[in-house]
Amino acid sequence: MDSQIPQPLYDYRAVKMFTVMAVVWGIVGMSVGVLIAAQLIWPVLNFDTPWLSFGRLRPLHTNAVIFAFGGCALMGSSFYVVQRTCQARLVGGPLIPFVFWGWQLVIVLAAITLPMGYTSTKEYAELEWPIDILITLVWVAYAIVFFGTIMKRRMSHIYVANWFFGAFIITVAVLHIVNSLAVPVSLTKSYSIYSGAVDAMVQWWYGHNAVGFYLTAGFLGMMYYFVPKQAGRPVYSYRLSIVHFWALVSVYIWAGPHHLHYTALPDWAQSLGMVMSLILLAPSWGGMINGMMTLSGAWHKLRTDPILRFLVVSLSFYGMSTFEGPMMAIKTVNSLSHYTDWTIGHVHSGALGWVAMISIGTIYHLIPVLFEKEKMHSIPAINFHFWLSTIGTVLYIASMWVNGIVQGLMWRAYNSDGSLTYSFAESVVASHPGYIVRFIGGSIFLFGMLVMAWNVWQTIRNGEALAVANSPAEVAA
Amino acid sequence: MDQDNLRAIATLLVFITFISLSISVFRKSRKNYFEDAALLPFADDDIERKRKPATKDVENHNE
Repeated sequence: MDSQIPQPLYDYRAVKMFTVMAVVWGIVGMSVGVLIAAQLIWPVLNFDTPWLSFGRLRPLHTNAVIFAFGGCALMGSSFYVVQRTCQARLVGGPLIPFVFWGWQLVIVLAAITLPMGYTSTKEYAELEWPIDILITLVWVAYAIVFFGTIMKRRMSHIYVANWFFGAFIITVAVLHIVNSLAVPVSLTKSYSIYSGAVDAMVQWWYGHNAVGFYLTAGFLGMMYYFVPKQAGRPVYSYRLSIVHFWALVSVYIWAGPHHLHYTALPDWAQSLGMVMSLILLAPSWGGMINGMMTLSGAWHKLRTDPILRFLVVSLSFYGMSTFEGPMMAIKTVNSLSHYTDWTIGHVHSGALGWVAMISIGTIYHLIPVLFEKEKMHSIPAINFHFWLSTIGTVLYIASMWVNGIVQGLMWRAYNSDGSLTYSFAESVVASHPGYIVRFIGGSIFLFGMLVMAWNVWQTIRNGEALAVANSPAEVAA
Repeated sequence: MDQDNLRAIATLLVFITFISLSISVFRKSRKNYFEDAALLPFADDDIERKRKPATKDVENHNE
């Protein structure tokens, strides 16, 4: 029967590996996060060992969750979406496994070098220059595979999810190369070619657009495919999605200076960063509303479908953190919130609530399709995972709000003679209860990831196979 | 050119670009084009439904 239909043969091999590795790296990265959260409560947990110290494990945690967990989820889902919406098989032959194995090598090298203390000291770009070059090679291969597949599409229009994935791939390439330019002095040490305020500006132009294009545009690409797909209806307004795309990509690129309020950066640049961050609320919420309203008339599906619930609640967290972000970018608010745990809470409302939960929803959607199963092994386990994720995230961000405001207020309190009311150590003591709640929230979220790993494993091993044994994709593979 | 003029022109250009993008996207004549584009994620469902009869139907906001 299939032979009568000219069906494109999809290549899911890399998608499968990326999706499974997203689960694995998610657990690894979040475990490190829980460990360093515990270290802030019980400092003895660094065991007086340099490679277990907070300063080395923190970049390991951020790199693992952003680039290993997030990266595998993005690369896997983009390879899936681009094939399905272009009805074309992945292009690139040997480049496809190179993207997968190259990326895994980057992750393993990061996991080795960061605890050893090799770092370029640039936040979210700590990896040293040989690894940076490897990242560039993998990324170019990734771009060739992705855009090559788009060029082979069977229809004239490029579906909006691919625009977001495409913007993510191009911009991250530019950001990575410009920010990582350095003079190597040995295999494991290099110095940035920028210095002073310029270095800071380049770093946060990179840093904030890593948020804007990696953690936002990329995952919005996921959203524009998997939310409509899981809800069984097209996106609320396709036209809004186009305005959303252009507005988001043209505004995000200016917002970086809000990381450098009240520093040596010129005042006009700080104000520009603040204003652009405030404007950013409009496209962010446009996209969020577009995703949410896709369910209009089908809200009842949320009662029975925990996968859809993951996707929609991730959009609510996205809306929440894209409201909080512009607010924190206002200079007067920033003077209270900056350098406090409020920032950490904000990041995690985006990272756990938005990035992780939309990825989890995507993984639950993908696993049965990729491995030819009827559905996930246990739907109640998905529901359980959903509540663990939601409760864990809420505990995490609420405790960091409290901590952040307490710290900000204590640090700015003066006595009548002009001396500081509190020592720094006193603010650390005041943060202790919040650190405990954060550790509990993070542990609950991590436990949810373990539930997912069990569910994914059971589905792949024992799940009920689809009625038809071989899909064309499998035959081709 | 005076720096303030340059700023004013840049702001105006961005504003005009945004308005023209919105108009070109929301023009009535392109309604069908974008409605078809929105269905692209479901384009290969027809093929799948033949293999998997349980697949749910796609609903449409515009019906």
